[in-house]
Formats: sequence, structure tokens, C-alpha cells
Amino acid sequence: MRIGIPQSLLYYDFFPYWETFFHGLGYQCILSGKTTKAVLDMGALACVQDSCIPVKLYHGQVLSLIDRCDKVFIPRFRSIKRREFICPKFIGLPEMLRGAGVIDDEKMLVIDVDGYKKSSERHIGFLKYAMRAGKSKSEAKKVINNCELNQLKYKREQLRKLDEIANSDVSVIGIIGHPYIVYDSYINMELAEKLGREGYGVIYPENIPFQNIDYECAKLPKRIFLSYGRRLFGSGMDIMRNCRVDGLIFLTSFGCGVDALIGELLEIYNNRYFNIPYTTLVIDEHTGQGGVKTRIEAFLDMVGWRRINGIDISPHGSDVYSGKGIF
Amino acid sequence: MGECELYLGIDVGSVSTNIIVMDKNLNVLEKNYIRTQGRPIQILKESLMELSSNLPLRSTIAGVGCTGSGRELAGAIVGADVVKNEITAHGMAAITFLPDTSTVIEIGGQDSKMIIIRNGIITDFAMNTVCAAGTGSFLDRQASRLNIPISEFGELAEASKAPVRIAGRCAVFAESDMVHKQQMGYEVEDIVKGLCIALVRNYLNNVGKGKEILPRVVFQGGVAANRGIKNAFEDMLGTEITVPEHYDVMGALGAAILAREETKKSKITKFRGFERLKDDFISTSFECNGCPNMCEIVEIKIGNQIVARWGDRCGKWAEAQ
Repeated sequence: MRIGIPQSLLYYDFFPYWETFFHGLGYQCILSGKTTKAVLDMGALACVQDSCIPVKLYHGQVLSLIDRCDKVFIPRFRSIKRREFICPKFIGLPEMLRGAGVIDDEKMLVIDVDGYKKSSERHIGFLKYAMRAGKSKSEAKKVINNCELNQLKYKREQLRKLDEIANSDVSVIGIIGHPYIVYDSYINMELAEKLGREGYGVIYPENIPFQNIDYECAKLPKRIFLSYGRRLFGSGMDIMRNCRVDGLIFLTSFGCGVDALIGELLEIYNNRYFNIPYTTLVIDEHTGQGGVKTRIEAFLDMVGWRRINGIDISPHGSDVYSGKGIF
Repeated sequence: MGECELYLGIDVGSVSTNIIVMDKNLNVLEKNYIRTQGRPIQILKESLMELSSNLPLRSTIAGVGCTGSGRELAGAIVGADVVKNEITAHGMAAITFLPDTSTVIEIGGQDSKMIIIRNGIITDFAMNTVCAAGTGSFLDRQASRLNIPISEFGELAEASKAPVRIAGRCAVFAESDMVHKQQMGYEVEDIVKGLCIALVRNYLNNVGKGKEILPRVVFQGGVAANRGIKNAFEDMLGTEITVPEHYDVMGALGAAILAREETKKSKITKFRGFERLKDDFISTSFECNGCPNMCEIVEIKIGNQIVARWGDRCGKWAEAQ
């Protein structure tokens, strides 16, 4: 069987797991391909108007896959960790697609992911599906085991990038945002490439170890119960505190509820404790690059000036500017 | 007597194109503020030609800087030494003319910005995100709807004793709210002042959100001419607002200042000269079929020579000149 996998949303986080799983069942994985204008237009037309752009894109990718595979894999993510949730749009994703008339029930392969009561229960949906597909319980468990191993390997690779960057001399800018925005260079208008051309390296939330993220989140007076909210906040704080970055860009899509809170929190804490160059980039459907370009240019000018002036980053938010002027 | 070295600053915005000429001591000799009218190339050429005839004898252009949303286009046409974003240019101008500036409020035709400056360098900035409520073009529209020349807007607002509260969060809502208040018989000046207050409130909530606004606060951009808005800022921030002498061309001034710095290093300007502006500039656009992104490529030519291309995501056209 050929399983279509849209390259959007949580694909960027869990693809190694999914690939191992379907290969373990003897299925073939067909990827939707990178985002293009045509796919995005298709999705924007099919999807409800006020949804965020990543969800619109997902609609387009499902549409582009329909004729190329037997079933499209549409996971229903409810929770990936105990007492944490995922954004509601992931919970209702299959229904949203059905409601928009994008795909029929028969064509969808839906697997529930719910680890709210117990983190390890997030595998149950996959286990059950494997058994329905004809695997014995022990065989199915073996497949899941492999999935987890490959997922861990992937995570370790992501973490290794942090060391690579820490050991190199390049100036680094942190890009904080959901994986489906920061790794999709069409949607984010090649932000990382643009920074690269100016000589900056980048780090992402996924490069930060979970324990550091949990450590930062635990300092908040209230617990964040959204997994990705935790990741963005915790990694943003850790990057500002420990990674000696020259600046932080908060990349968000218009209308994201999680980001509305997290972006604000990060900015407040930055003003209070770190005082590093910080900016928010909001992306939406427009293809004109002018606005994003102006903001990135201005941001890099600011980063550059502050560096030329020999400004170190003050750990306590005290004034450290040399006051030498710009040139 | 040596030749007088002049610097040209060009700010091609969505609503207006501003051109200034200054000498190396920052004295502004010429200042030209015209509506872009959707024909940036034409407007730019015409006003540059006009300007060249007003320049002092025995003077040369020693550097050119371009800024604004049309900066690349303008830069390609005139041959610019620096092409800089509006934020840096505006910040630069404020720092140079008023070195003790801590906050710059800039409201232009279609966007508004706040620039935070500490000890002479830009440390933070914000631009309006998706909504243009509170920018110059919105004020323009409302003024013409109320049948008041925009130049009298400020005076009218000052005459108001009891401003009406207008919803300022969204341009569309603000307009319907204004219509409603008019129908109920409120005085025009009270509505106008209410609108000014609403716009300032909206600006401070959106652009100024979370920013530490310290004096000296400098207000620049075309909207700074509007005393109603300036007064509303002063009331709401509780501090005096400085409107610099050349408030309407600060972006162009910043670009000229940056050009002066750049040519100090490079020693030679890339300016094409006024004579060559008479050449025909042909701007064409086409859709690239290289990949499914179908980028719209813009190409600027002088005669048969391609001077600039942009609009592609991959850089295939921009780099192949």
C-alpha cells in the first residue's frame, strides 16, 4: 500500500517515527513534496478562511497527494506528553479536511495520538493499527520499538547541531517558531537562507534539550499546558540565557493563539533580563517579500551596530551600551 | 574655490516620493515631497530633473542613498551608493539631527514604526503588522470623506472641547463608527479629535506594545504635520513630542547621511548622473516557469542593458545580470 504523507505540520517533528512505522508494515511512503505556490493556493481555496497558513497549506498538500497514493496519513494528535495538549487544530484535523470536502473517510488513514494520561500511551494508536494490519502483538511492539529508536536518533542529531554551532565562530541568531514554519522555507520566505547570506548561523527550538526547556518553563508562575507553547518558550529562554546568540527572531503565523501568548512572554522576559535584539515576524499568505525583507534588514542592522559597539549582553538587564555612536 | 559636494537622499514610499539634497554639513538645500501616484519611475525621473536645475553651480553629487519600499527600484535607476531599509534610515536621521533621541515615532503613508534608541544606537524597533489603521492613507481617506483638506485636520482637532470616542482598532470599524457618530449629530471637530485619539491609542497598543517609551520622543513622517495627532501623543504619553524641522523627509535625509558615510569609505559614487536619467527606463515583468512557485520577475532596462532584476525567490534572476 502507498501511504501519502503531507510535508507539513507535525511531519517536521515525527517523520522518522512515521516512516519507520509504515515501512515496518511493509507499506510505501509517498511524500507530498516541498511547499510551492501552487500547493498553497490550492489549500487556501479549500480551507476555511480564518485558519492559519500552515493548516491551509496542509489542505493543499493533502489535495496534491490524493491521486498519488492509496491512503493519506492524517494523524490526530491530541497529546504527546502527560498533562500537555497540542493545538486544537491538530485534534480536529481529519474532521476539518472532511468538512472542507478535501478528502473522503475511506481515503484517510487516521491514527490517534493521545498521551495525556500517560506519555507512553501515545503509541497505543499505532500499536492497534499495526495489529489491525495483520501484525501479531509482539511483532507490532517490535515495530513501535524501532519507531521510537529512530525518533530518538533524529532528536539526537538535532541536539548535535547545538554543539556544532557552539564550537564554530559564526554569529548565531535564534529562530523561535513552530517546526512547520521555521523549517518550511517557502512559508517563512527563506529566513534561514537570508540570514545565512549575511553570515549568520541559526538555531531552532528543536536544537535545545528537553530538560533545559522544562527547566525554563518550571520557573513560570503558571504551568504552560500546550506542548509547543512550552517548547517555544523554554527554548527561547534557554537560547537567550545560554547560547550567546546575537539576536532572536520570533517567527509566527498570523492568527496563532499559542504564539500570541508565548511571543509576548518572551519579549517581556527579554526586556527584563537579557536585552538582546529581538523581533517578531508575522507571516501570512502574501507573496510579496517586501515587508519581511525590510524587517530582516532592519533587524540585522540593529544586530550589527550593537556588535560593532562592543556591547556584551548583560545578564541582569543593566545598561551596558558603550554610547560610542554608530560609526 | 573647490566644488561643493552634495548628497542625494531618495525615499520612495507607497504614498509619497521624497527627495532631498544636502551638503556635507547636513544643511538641506533642496527638498521635494511628491505623491508617488503608482508611477514611481516616472515621478522619480521628473522630480530629479527638476531638482538638478535648482542645484548651485559648481556642485557635484558625491553620494546617493535610497530607502522606502521602492528603494531597490530607485537605487537601480539612479545608481545608489546605499540602499537601506526605512527603519535604519529614519533612525539614522533622528540620531544625527537630535542626538539625545530615545524614541522615534514614524507614521507614514502605509506603515507606522517605532524605533527605540539608546545612547545613539537603535536597540529595538516595531512596525505595524497586518493592519494599516492609523497610517497616513487612512487619515487622508477620512479627511476627504468629511470634506476637510488634510492640512486643516490638525487645526480642527485643536478646536474640539469634547472629543468623541471612536473605535480605532480597525480602519473599517473606525469608519463605520465615525459615520454613526456623524448621523447622531456630533460636531465635526469632536469627531476629528476623537479620530486622532483613536489612532494614537491604536498605535501605542499595537506598534508601541511593550516598548519603553522614554523622552526625547521624536515624531516624524508625513503625519507629524497633523497637530491633532501630535497633541494626542503628548496627552497620552505625558511628555513633550519633538517634531524635527525636516520631519516629512527624515527617511530621505537618513539615506543621504548613510550615503555620506558609505562614500567616505568607497571614495567614489555610483551615481549615474542627471544626464543619463533622460534615458528610457523600461520596466517589464514576467512569470518565471522554472518551478511551481511561478515568481513574478521584474526587469529594469536602460536601452538594451539590464540594470536590475528582482522578485524571484531562488535568486536565479537577481544574480544573473
